[in-house]
Amino acid sequence: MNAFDGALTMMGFVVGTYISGLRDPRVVLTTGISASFAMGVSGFVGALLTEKAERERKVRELERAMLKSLDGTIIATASKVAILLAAIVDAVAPALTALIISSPFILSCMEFIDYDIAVLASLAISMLLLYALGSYLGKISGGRSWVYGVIMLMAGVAVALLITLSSPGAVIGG
Amino acid sequence: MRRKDVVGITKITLDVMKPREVSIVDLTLALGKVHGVETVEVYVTEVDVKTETLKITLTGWGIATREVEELLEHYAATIRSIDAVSASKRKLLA
Repeated sequence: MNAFDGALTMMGFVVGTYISGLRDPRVVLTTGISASFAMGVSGFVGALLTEKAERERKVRELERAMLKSLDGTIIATASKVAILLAAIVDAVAPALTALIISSPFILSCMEFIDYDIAVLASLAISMLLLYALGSYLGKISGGRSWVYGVIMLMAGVAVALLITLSSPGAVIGG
Repeated sequence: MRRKDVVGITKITLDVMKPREVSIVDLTLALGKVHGVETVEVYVTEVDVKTETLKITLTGWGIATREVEELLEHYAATIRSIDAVSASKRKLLA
């Protein structure tokens, strides 16, 4: 689900920058990459601490039930591995999503494509990623994957609409 | 060459408690690899919210009980009691 956060944040950022009238792909790219690093670190630390707290509590409860320490057992090892894996996944998922979404601006920086096309491509990638994430969730849940995909897509559209409507230009009427 | 009488454990029945997260299949397969063990029988005798009690019977010859103990420890299990032990004598080349 952290990939969902990464996709929506980056999409919001692209839409917001476009509405503000800024037309410099280097600004979008630099801030996009910075944001993806920030999301990566935030995801890693957040997941590490929450998973550690949650899993250590479970191990302690189990120790009370077993009336012995579980240090050095497969339970303790599995818990440590799970904490680390969860933190890595939570770090990589939003960072990677944000990087993928900002990738069209690399082409725009190199003047292969126009800035407006980069914005459109970025938004198209965002929508595709959101739909794919939703479909995957639907597949896991055993429900209709396209329904989940459309719900995710709607979240993306809602973000774009909210930013457009709340932009100073729209509010002031400029 | 001289032959020497050696006594080895042929059967041991243990009452073991383990966390429910630990797979009974994994534990059984691991016990089967212990030195001297030929067959492993595991029955679940009690199920609790977080733990399960097992009746484990190992048969073979020269079962390495210390190894069994260490393995169960590694799988976060506790031996609550040793319910039965059988041993037999074999003549081995010294």
